[in-house]
Amino acid sequence: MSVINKIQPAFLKKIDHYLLINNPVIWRTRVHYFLFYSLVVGNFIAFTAAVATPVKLDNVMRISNFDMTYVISMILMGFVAIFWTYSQVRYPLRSTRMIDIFKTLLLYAFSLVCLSTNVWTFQHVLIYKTANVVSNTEFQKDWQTIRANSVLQSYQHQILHDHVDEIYDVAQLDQEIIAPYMAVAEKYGVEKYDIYPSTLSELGEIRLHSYELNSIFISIESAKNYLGKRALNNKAFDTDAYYDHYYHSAYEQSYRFSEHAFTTGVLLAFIPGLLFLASLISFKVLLMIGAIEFGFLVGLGLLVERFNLDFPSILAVLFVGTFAVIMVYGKNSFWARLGLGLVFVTLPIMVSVGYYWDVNFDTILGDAYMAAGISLVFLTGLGKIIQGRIMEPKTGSNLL
Amino acid sequence: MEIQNKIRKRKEEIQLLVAAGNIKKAIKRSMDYASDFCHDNLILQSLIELNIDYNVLLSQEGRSNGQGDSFRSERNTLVIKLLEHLDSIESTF
Amino acid sequence: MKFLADEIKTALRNDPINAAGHLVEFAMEHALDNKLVHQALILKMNLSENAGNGGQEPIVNDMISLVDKISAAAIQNDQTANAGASLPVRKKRHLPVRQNDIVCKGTGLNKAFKRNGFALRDIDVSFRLGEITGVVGENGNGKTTLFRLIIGDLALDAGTIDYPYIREKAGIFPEDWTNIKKHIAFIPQDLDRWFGSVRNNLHYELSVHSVYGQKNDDEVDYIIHRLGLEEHQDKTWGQLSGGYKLRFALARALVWKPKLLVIDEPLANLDIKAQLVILNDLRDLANGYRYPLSIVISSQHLHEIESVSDNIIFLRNGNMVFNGRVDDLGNEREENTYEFGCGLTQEELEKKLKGLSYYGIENTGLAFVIRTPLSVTHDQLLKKLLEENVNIEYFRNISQSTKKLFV
Repeated sequence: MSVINKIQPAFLKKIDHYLLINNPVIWRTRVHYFLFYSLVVGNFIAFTAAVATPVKLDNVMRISNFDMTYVISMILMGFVAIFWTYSQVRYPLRSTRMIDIFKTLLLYAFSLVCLSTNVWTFQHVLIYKTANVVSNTEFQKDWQTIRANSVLQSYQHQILHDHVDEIYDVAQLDQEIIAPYMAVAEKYGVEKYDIYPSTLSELGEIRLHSYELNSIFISIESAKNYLGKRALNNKAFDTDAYYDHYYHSAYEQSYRFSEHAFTTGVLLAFIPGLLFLASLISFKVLLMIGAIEFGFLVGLGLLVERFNLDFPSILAVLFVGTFAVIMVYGKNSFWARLGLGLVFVTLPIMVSVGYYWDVNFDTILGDAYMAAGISLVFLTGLGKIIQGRIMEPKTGSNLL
Repeated sequence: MEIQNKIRKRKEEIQLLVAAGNIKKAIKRSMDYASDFCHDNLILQSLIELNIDYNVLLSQEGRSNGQGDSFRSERNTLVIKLLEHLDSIESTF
Repeated sequence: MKFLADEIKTALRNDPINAAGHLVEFAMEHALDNKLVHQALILKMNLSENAGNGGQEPIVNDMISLVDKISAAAIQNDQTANAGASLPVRKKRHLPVRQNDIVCKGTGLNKAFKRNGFALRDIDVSFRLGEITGVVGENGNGKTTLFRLIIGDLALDAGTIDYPYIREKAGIFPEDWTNIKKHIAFIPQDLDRWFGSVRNNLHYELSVHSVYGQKNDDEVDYIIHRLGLEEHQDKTWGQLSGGYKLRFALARALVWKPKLLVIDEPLANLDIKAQLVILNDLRDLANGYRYPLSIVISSQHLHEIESVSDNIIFLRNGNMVFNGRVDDLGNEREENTYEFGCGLTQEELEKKLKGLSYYGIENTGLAFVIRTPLSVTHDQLLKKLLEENVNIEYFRNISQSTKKLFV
């Protein structure tokens, strides 16, 4: 903490102190740190790093690389989130006013948006660079070239080397015939040893194939699609003319970029609520509930698999049941806290199911934001009820 | 009248602490005195500064290992300031 | 006046250390200029410091000339006053005096725990503003349970609890726990770990109690310096010793001026000096004029707690054995009880005390407790022990102490 204090700029310290002595609700969310370190510093670093990352025709970012940056960023963000959650639990929101609870949840959501912009910035600069590594016309021409030359019909066997049936090595193919394919491959930095000829015995065909080249084309195609889609305000998802056997995978890959943005929406909806609920209870209890939750998830998963239960129905019953418990027995703190534990159990499952459902059933990003808004209001009410209950004397003696 | 007596009594309590050489406690009680009877926050702030100065003086004295004349004269200056604050609080209440 | 001044001067020449006190009294009584009082106080302080090191003479001379100055000015003033001059009349303001209001009143408090069978039965308590109430009793006799009932942490099985002063002042209804608890501070025996620096926690505590801006800064400065936390204000939990953790907990509880402060066993892990500092601070702050508060404190350190409390509650097995003013402790006793330590065995002691009237001697393992008729005073007992050449390690009259209830 002292190291962080030392590297903090003076103006941020002043803002921090001002908020601390004037607006504790805003101060405890640490939104000002997110504003500065994520929105300003983080984005500057992300932008600079992305600009400095070499993306050239012979060195194109693959989808897997994008995924990797996303995963690494999520892990880093996870550390920030853990530290942040810890600070929230350590400085509980002491106000029971509805407006303060709502403000807190809203600021949590905003902080998460700030945090997620770093990944967004880094990825979008790289997407932009990837999409512009080659012009659309040239890319289309290259694509057609490799399509036209990837499948060599049986009558073309004479162009192959004598030992073609025995040796599956592109080096031994007739270089003159496969030259156009090889030229494109070389242009995109693919080594000839990464190109594999294979015999399709039924047709008597030989097919040239390169995973490397495919992934490069998918990456560039996805980036171009994604930027095109964004330029057209999400309404023209697949207006490109490259409707070939790459299309489907390219479609999926470009959707994955949106998916990341969608994840942010899901986070917006649920993480603030979880964080807020976490801040109402002690850190020890939080850890204990985490362990229970893990066991519960495993158990529930086994039940669903064994008896083929209707998963959403179980969740609905659990969730409604939880509220019933809190509402009816809320006066008794033991039950209120037990209810709180159940909320912890059910909410992540709902997030997972909601996420799965959204990805597979093509829900647009706007829906997620709407869900976020509704959840904020909903969780505010829940927070208010629980805060009020916690203030009342408990009838039990050995409490959680 | 009761309140006047209370103010006077509290001031005398601090004065006797000074006379007994219990400066640390006298400063503490002066802060309470200011907090209770003074609407002007400047005096309380001044007493807090005085407390800081006294702490510095004590630590300097601790380092030089003995109570020299300069310590005594500086301490007496601080004590006079403290006593003046008490008078000022009483007179402005 | 002149006669009094001459007497003090003579005394200063003969016995300066004792006479310095008279000089201070003389100055406070007769000095017309506050500066003369200041001089008297500083001279007395300097004289005490120089006691025994030979540097007294110049200070005594200064004192004598100060006596002359004070008396000369006073005589002159008398003459002027007799000539008809009138002194300016200062306008006085009056603050409302709110001492002795009942902050918390519990009647017939009952709480039973099914799991271990313990029950707190029919407890009546009343805590007033500006007073300290000590709650004593052996471990597991219901002190913490009583505290949790008072602060609204546990629900009552039977009885009523009310906070008249808090409700009246804040305009809130009974059982509006959210608002009632805004005026109650509780410091548990096992202090919760906290996050961040001492100073930031105090700022936060104040701002969640709606004290904002410059006032927030000022109050934090005050409490930090008042409780001696100035050198520790930027430290975190792990950097503070046990004593300072408690001091911080006190600062955090006191900074927002609660009306009721409940402290469970604060002295448990403190050295004797720290105990005295904290108890004295509590005494001073409870008596505050602008922000008085009621303090309820439990401890096993009976002597210390009695010395600082106005009232004492003694609990045994969940029942209230005593609840009243400290001064009333043992008022209706039928015997005197003394505790003392010496190097003798019980038999040897009994032999030495032959001839003295007593009901019984008990060896607690650490000391002897002797019960005597009321006619046997502590002077007589001490005299007897000294006559018999008993080497007394310590002696305490516990006739009017809760200690008697423990032995």
